[in-house]
Amino acid sequence: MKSNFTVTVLLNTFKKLFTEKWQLAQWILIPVMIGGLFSLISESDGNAKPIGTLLVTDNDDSFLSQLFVGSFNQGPLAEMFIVKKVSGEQAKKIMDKGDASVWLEIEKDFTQNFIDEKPTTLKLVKNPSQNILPQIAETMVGTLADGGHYIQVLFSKELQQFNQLLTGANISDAQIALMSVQIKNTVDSIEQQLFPPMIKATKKVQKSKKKTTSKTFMILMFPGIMFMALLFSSQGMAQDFWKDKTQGIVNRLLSSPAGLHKYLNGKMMSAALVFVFIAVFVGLLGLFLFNIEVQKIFVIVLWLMISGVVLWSMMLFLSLSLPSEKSANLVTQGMVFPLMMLGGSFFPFEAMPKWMVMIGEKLPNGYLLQSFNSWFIKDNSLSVLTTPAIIALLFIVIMWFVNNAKLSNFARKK
Amino acid sequence: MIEVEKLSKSFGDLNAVDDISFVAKPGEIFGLLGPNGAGKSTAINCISGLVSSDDGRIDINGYNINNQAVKAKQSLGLVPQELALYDDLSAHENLVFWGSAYGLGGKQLENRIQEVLKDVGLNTRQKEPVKQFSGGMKRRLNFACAILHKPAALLLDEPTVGVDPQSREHLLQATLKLKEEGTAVIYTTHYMEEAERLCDHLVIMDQGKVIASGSIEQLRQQVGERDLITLLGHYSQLDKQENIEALGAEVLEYCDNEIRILIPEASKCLTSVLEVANQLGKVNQVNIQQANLESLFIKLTGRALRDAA
Ligand SMILES: Nc1ncnc2c1ncn2[C@@H]1O[C@H](COP(=O)(O)OP(=O)(O)OP(=O)(O)O)[C@@H](O)[C@H]1O
Ligand SMILES: [Mg+2]
Repeated sequence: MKSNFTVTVLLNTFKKLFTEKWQLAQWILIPVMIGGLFSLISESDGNAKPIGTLLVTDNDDSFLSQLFVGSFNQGPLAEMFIVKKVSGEQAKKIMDKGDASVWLEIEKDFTQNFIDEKPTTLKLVKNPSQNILPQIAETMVGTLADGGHYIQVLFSKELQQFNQLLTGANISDAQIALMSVQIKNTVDSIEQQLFPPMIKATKKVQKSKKKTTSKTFMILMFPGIMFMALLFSSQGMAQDFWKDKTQGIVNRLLSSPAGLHKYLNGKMMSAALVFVFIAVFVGLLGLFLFNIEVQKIFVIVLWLMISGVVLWSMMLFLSLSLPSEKSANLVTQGMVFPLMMLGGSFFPFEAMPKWMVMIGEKLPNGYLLQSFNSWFIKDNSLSVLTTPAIIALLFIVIMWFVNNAKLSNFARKK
Repeated sequence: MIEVEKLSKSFGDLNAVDDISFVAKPGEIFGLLGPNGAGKSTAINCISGLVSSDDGRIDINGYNINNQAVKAKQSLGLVPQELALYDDLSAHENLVFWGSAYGLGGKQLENRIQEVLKDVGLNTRQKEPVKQFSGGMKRRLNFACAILHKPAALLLDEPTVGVDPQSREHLLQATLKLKEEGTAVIYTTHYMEEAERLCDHLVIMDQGKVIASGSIEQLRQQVGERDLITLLGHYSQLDKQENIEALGAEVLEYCDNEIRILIPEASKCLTSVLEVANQLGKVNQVNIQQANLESLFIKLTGRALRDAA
């Protein structure tokens, strides 16, 4: 009976992986732990104390502005920040002393401008000596838009834009966000329905608040966590080529009729299976935590597999290009962290400054994650994944040829 | 059958293999002998496709290694000098891997695995991970991986280096068995005794070149029916080599701590040799042996095989 060498390589890689169980566990557990820690921060059990102060100066003091401030006073922000309503002067003093994380100032004619379709300004001043808290404040603005809060029902699109503007602002200078004209249109169109049910909605949300909020933040982190696992595992599996090489396997394969391309295929298939394994594992966790629909899990698994193979191809290319096992390990491992940071695995894109997002979205993992999020988080139809999928598959095919060509030089290298 | 014609390979300025030609016939063990760095492995690696040669023609079993690579490789088995085994996997799993690389599978592969494991004496240890093996056992497994597919031609690159006598015996027996089955074997080593015991035909290499070739008998004749005397000690009068030559000896080496000579019937003239040597300096140790390939190598290169590098 003839055997298929590709399958043998696949099985072997798996066997080796399972003899080093810790490696596999590490790839999954580290991201899950990081994700867990992040969501612990936003966890809303009664004992959790707010850790920052959010100053709000409402110069307008109208219904609409109160509505706006009220939205900060509950939901995730309320658990992380003590929201203090203060006058402009007081706020300046407190900020100068560095005693608050963020200062949000609503201009005097907030409502009027709104209704007159004039640009309305919101001033967000961040404490420059704090990094995380002001960012989290921004993220929370984002989660408000994504969560089950009534603001989202009414202003989801606008809040997203608003949030984008906010995150696009230069952080260290206090910055100005312009609200779009569309808000007015929305308000106009729903004004009649807006006011009476709003209060009911508020109460309702407050009751279920605790659950919603931590989940909201976690679900934002969730895709990033999965990509973190992909980065870890693709790095490790690309490095496997060097392990095989130092054991003399790759070199000796040159003398066999099987050909290195079968070896490459076997490795690629085993990588894909590991990604599926990770996706199923993390996906089930998601199913359990967020009640993700089962159909969605299929898409998640497929997308993570494709994304994983993309990252693996990239890591492999680098690994094969470098002159030694050590340098390959150093460089690829050194890349994992910045890729995670910029590519939305540590902080959701919503919490990143614009320049970072600009870089991050262009990184392979950032691009694939953004595409994924626009389906998974932003609830767009599945078709938003079509173009990214084509790009990813093309990338995989091209990289296969490139890596296959590199592999024979790699095998011959001393 | 392995045919090598005008094979050359250089690394930068270094001619690792310099225009060598030979033919290894079926049922023959063909020895490639030479000191460290002679170019033996480079030659083997060119033949097996691990290294691309600069020049020359290589045919395995009638198939050209470049134009009919798959068929040529299918007919070839390689035991590389460096081990090529998965440390984490068992002996059996390694054999499955390499068998599969040669297109074997299923029951056929399993039968062959059990056969070769018996040949190299590892059948009782096949489920253990290779990292638990001794150096010699790893070498035996490395050997076993190469012969699963019953290659018509087999390349053995120092298969016995660093192994215990027991493992060595297993390997030599297995090699002889393959020879009887009609395999064309190329065997590189710098152990003269091994070469003399196994090889039907020999090529002696030094610095990339073939410096002698022929059957063991033919090569022995080049040193003649003489004995090799080695006199270790301290010698000062290095210009008086002719004093020794006057005894009818051929001086292979003469330096401040060693004299090596080839002389007919050493036992009869030993006293006069010692007398002369003591005039040249002080003799500490005397060693007499029948002239062998080692003596030939010294004769050809002026250096001992083991420390020629
Ligand atoms: N990939 C390489 N790059 C550069 N030089 C090389 C390479 N491979 C071999 N050499 C050089 O070619 C020469 C021949 O080496 P080779 O390994 O063929 O010797 P050998 O006869 O097998 O020696 P040994 O008995 O030590 O195994 C040596 O000088 C070695 O340094
Ligand atoms: Mg060698």
